[in-house]
Amino acid sequence: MKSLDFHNEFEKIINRDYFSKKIQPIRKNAFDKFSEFGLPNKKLEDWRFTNLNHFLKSSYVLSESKHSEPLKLDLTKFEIPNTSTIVFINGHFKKELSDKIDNVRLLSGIDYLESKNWSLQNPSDCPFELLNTSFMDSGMSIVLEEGQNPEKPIRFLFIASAKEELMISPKIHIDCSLNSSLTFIEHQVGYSDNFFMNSSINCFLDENSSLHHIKIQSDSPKAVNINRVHVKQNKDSQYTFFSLALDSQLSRLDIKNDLNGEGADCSINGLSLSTQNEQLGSHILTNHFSPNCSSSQNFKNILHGKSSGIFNGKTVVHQNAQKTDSKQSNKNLILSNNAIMNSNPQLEIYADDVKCAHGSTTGSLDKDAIFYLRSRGLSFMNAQKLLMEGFAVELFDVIKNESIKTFIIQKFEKWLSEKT
Amino acid sequence: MLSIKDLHAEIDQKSILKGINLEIKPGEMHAIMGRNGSGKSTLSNVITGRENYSATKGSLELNNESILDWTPEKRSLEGIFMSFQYPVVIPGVNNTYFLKAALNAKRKYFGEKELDSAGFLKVIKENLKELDMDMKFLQRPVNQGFSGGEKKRNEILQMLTLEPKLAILDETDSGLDIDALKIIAEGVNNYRSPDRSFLVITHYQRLLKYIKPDFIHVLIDGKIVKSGGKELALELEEKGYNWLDS
Amino acid sequence: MPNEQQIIDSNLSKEYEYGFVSDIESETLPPGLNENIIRIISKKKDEPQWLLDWRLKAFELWKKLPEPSWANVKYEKIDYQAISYFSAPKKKELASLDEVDPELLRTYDKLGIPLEEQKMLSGVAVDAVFDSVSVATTFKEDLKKEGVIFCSFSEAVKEYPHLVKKYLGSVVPHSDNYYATLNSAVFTDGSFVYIPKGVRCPMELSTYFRINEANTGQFERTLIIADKDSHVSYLEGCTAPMRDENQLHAAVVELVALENATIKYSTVQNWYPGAPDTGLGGIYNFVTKRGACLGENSRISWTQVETGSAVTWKYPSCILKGDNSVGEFYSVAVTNNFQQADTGTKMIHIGKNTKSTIISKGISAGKGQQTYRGEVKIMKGAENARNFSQCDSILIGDKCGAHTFPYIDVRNPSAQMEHEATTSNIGEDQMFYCNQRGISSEDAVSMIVNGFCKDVFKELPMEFAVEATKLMEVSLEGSVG
Repeated sequence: MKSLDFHNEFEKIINRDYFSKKIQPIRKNAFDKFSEFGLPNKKLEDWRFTNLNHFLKSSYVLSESKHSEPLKLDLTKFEIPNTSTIVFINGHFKKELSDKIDNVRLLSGIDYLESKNWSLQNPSDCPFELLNTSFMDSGMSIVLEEGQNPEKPIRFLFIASAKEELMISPKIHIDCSLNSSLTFIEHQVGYSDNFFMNSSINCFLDENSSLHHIKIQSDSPKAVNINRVHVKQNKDSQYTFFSLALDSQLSRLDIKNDLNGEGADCSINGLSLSTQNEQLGSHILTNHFSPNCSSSQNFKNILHGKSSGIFNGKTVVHQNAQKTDSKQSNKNLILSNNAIMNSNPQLEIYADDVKCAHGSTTGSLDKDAIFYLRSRGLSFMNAQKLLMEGFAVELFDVIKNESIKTFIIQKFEKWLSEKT
Repeated sequence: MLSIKDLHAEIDQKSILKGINLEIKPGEMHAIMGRNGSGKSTLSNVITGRENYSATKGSLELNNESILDWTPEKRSLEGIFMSFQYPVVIPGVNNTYFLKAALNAKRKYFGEKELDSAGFLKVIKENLKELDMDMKFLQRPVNQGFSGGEKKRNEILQMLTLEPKLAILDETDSGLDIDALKIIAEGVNNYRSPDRSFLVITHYQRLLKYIKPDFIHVLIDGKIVKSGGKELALELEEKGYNWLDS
Repeated sequence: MPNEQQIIDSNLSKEYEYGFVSDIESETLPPGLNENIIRIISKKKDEPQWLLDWRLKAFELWKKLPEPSWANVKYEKIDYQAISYFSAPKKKELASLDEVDPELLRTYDKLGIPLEEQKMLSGVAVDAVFDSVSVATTFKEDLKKEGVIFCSFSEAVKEYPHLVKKYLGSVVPHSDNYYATLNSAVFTDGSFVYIPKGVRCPMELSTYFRINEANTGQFERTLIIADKDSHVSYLEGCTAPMRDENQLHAAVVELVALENATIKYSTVQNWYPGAPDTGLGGIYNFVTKRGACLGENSRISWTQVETGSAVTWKYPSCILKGDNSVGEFYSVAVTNNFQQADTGTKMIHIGKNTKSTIISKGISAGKGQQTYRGEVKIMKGAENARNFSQCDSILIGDKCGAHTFPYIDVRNPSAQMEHEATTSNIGEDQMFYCNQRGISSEDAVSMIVNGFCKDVFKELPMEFAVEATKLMEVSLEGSVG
């Protein structure tokens, strides 16, 4: 879908009468900017490795109210015990399929914007963020009050299931007030053949709050997933992120963390598994603006087939962010002759009293290790499987919630057994 | 030699030493004992002039001259040596080079001719023998990849080479096996002479079986609460520190 | 009324309009870049037509190229029309060392450079006692016996045109990048080296031996070819800061290693970094250096110590085409005061079992900004390629910056590549430990920094290594309070 092709769809959304009129100038402003800049291309450093071909060839349409009924659905497949789930079908909130969540403020996109006096929390000139703002049509926001600590994790389950090639643009805000904490699961499932998920998640962590953010993405192989997470952190707050990415033709995850208050900590982790010709990219930017903050980025890719992986991690330590402690690690397994990995762990440091380290390794499974395992009686397949498990397993430790961890490990195991 | 009167000191505005009085005369060996956190290491850091350890009251004199304003290197050149509790790793800088630079800094300070490599090796070889250390040791980067025992031996090697007037041994016995402890104690004992003084800082009595201090002081909460002869060490071993708590 | 200067100016430009080529008597061309200037340069050097054509092709392209802006450096835009592209080989000679900037002389003393050499470097007329020409001649004869060709680029164009024609632009094509293209159009001179089959060059080839030869200027071009089973070690530069009137340096170095050949290229770069308090007037060092390991088992090793220049933009690279070929990059870069450096390497693995090693040590002090930018590319056919990269930075002071931008692109599953990087400052405990042993803070910094750089210094030829250590001390002077 080229830049110009969005005009038709934009006419449609701006004329929808069930949205508040107040939202129109926000959409218009973003779409004007988008029309001016256009889609990103490879000449932009940040988009150098992202291949948009599949996206450009597709033509997406807005999700209409008729799309709120799925083609087929088996929710039990996605059950994670002990979580409160909110279900979205093709972007539409499905109250009857969702759990009732008491005591936590859940707001619709419009209500949230109204509470913020119709101004965007994270205005950005990224073309896809502009598209998201132009077309924002789903999602929900969570506002935690001071000291609030919901017992169960809250899960947003996004299900894409339609005949048409839909474009879904959720905008989600999660605001954690002083001393609050939450586990949030963003679970994307694709039944449709091809769709375009363009989500924007904005988290604000006030002093001493903590947010565990888990993202599970298992899409249909032709889906396009362009997702952004923007996190702003105040003093002593803690943000943990874990992503499991599977399938989809093109998946690009951008996470931006601003450590604004002293003592803030973030840990961004991800495991990407690809089998055919997926392109799974993780673009992580961590900004240290304050002293005594710590951050870590830890991403792993296992690549098969003709797939490609991108890790573009950047940690910027600004001038007064003394005593920063930051780590970056990217490890990749390439298991086929046609897979490609681009790894760019970057450090930009303007303060002197800091500890920063990064490392990147890319290679195939250790032949000696395989031989060793086989000499102990394991089959070649099992040896491979064992080594891949060993490669990935440390990442799962960041998931503190046992039922989520179990769900993710099961997904990984299933992927492994299909692959080996 | 070293005279400490009513010394108060703090780190990050936290008061640690609360009035220390200590007089070390030439040839004497003093031991300071105390629990973790009693201020033992702070005392050694204040004497050697470590940054952020500031004396707020009292005096610290070496041979009747106040040294509180001296830089750490001046204190070193004037004869104060500390064997570090945690010797610092300096990657890529080999031991010989480091020790030669230190020795020559001292020689230069006293207007002596700086030693060339051959002259330096002669000095160092004897000291190595004394501590039962291998020549290969010299080629390795300062404290990098050293075992705990090797690090402590390296500290004593530096002491023998730099010939200080006052040597502070800060928890030199920690992390040592009994054989290494004996060797180090022997090195220290052989180094004793009427014009050299020692300040031994230790948590345990173990080291004091092999080196015999003339005086023992017990430090509790930034103050010396009891002083005595070697018999005090045995008493401490028997009774612990609690009987001294006020 | 136009004044006199304007009339002269307009007349001068008129002369160019009419293709006035041969009658220029002045040794320095007026500033400006156009086709005629290139024709004049070529003519002055009595070059063959093919080389002129090559220059013009580069110039045509250069006019269309945008100036690159991706490097992490900031500087005033260069006015390419204000540069004179052909300077007289002779610099203005000073009568005695008294006329030389005392700051420069102080640095020479610190580096322990002999008096006569000081004069030569600072542009003072050298008296008869210092006869480097005869030294150079002796060396040249030794080389001749072995069949080694070591001469100026212009001489090579005349004497060995087949070699130049075959290899010029084969590693760094005229279209490679903005500065390399500019260099291809206007290069004035440089060095040419050819090591014949099976020869191990009997000595380190060094710019030291040609110090009395013509000034090669700001657009230097070097071509080194190591034929089968040969070996050469080439030293470029000099630890002493050279007096230099050119602000822009855009050199190109091409290395070609055939089967079993080894080329070791070492650089010490210490050009004027600009005024310490403002950074004004320093050299812009925009260099393209690349080596091609064409033959099996060939090896190219770059070692650089970069302490000078206001802005450095430099990525000595290796194309590992031959099976089992090896590429190495060892670098120490210092940025103090207002210096900026964006430097690193590219290792392109094409052949099977190719190996590369990258060791980069960056030291930033003052307001210096430094970026390591490196690319490791494992192509599809590069079975069993190996890379190891280690990029460490030390920061001294809180106004400098150290940045690490590695690009790793792997297209073959049998590849093993590892990248590690650390950024740290000089530890307070390290300083105190040295101080406690009587070593002053300044000596401690230089000791710790030298230790930090050791893995690179050990790759330098012996005499260079000693000088590099001293050079670091001079470069980091005043960086600790």
